Amino acid sequence: MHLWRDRVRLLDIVREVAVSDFRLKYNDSVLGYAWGLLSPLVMLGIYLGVFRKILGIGGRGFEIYVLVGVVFWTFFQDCTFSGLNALTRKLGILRAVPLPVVVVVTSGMLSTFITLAINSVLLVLVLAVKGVLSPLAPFAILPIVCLGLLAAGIGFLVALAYVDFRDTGLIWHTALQALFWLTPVVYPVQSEALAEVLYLNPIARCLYLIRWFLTASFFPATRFIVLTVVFCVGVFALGLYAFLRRQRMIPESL
Amino acid sequence: MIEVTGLSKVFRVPHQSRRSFGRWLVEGRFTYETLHALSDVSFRVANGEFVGVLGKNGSGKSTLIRIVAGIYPPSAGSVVLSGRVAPILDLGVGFHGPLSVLDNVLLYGVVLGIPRRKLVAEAPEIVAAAGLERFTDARLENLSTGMKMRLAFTVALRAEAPILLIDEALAVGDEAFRERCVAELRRRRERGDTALFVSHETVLLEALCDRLIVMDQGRVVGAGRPAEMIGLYRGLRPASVAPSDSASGVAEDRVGLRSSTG
Repeated sequence: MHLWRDRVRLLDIVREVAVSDFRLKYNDSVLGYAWGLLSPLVMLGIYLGVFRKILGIGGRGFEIYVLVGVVFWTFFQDCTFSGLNALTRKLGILRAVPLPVVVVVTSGMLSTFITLAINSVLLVLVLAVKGVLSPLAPFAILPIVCLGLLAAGIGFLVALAYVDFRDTGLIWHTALQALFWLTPVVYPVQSEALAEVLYLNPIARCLYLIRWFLTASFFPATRFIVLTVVFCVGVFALGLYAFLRRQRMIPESL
Repeated sequence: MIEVTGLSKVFRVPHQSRRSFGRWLVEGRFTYETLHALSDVSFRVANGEFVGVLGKNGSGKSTLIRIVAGIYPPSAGSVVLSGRVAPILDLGVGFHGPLSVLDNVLLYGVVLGIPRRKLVAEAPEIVAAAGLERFTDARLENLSTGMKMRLAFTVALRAEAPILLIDEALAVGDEAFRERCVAELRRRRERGDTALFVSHETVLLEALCDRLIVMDQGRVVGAGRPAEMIGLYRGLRPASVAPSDSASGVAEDRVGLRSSTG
């Protein structure tokens, strides 16, 4: 009974903190959540302009390709930072309330999942209106969940690194910029040799599968899917395990 | 019941300037200050008893109550609690100014362990009890500090736990606020709840507590009737290390600084 009551209590905390973080993010904006959409849309416009008009890259459907890339990359970026941000913003709570630290960090990450859920629905609507939504679209849930697990696993590791190294935020910000260009977010992969290398990257694999399920009409290779799932689940398990092992020491170490 | 046996706590605090990845790469390791915050602390608070912990800055009080609450793990020793704990260690922690009074009641309440369903049902009553019914939808940041403290205390006392842990939380309000808090705590005492207070305020402790424990340099140096213990406390010299960050609960308890590497 106690265990069940404690679990309900922790779920209450995760939900309340995640929702309040989400609301706080857009609370003072006149446009509210629409303001959160503006940033990726502006980036979309810039990338399309540069790649299509200046570099002459991108054929039919390139807008959708870039739109999907920007939406899910933005989620990955926000989620990996949200664990670290939760530790810095909720430090007072961690030092005054006996809570598993993992609950606070998970709540921070979940607020980015709320944004992802809303953006995914909007994305599906855009694809449907443009008439390019695949009947396989419901299967896109799988790579989206994989991307979420990957981002959460890395988010736990980044948050953990922050406990020891206060410049982790700066380092991860720089690493993300490199990772952005090492991942086919806004450019198409046009050579087999390049694909061999780029798709070793699990973020690239998730984006590939999300785009595939949203717009293609037949299944991709099973081996590709299985390896992606295994890698993402593995990173999540590693991040969560490492975090849980050290979480008791975090309130006094920050 | 709270039973503390042989409790010790050692903090390893790295020098602030060395906590970057770059320096770690260059120097290969960090150096630490070793802080012996608690040494072999033992005491027992019986069910229905209100006990205060008194001590100068740096005596280990805040570390003690955080270990009892389960926030910090002990380096040695154990804490046994007979029931759920309501920690009131920092009133209003987790409040968000841009959110409404009602939203903050829900957020602060669930963080303190009060079931959300109960909070949703009782929120109007809580806001009214704090005297803020006219401000239910107002942004919390537009209220005065006193109003926020009233709200925080009213929410905190809704945590239906038989053991209260209170760390200087009542020191923030004005006289009327404190009188209200004391009245509410007396009601909890009559009900048979157990409490452990940490405070410098001898008048408050004498008014509320059955017994006092006096701490110095991370050790218990006396335990007994409030009047006697207050005399003992007044005779103590100030701690050797002054607090530099009383809000953290770590720096306040810096006792026995030693350098080490690791």
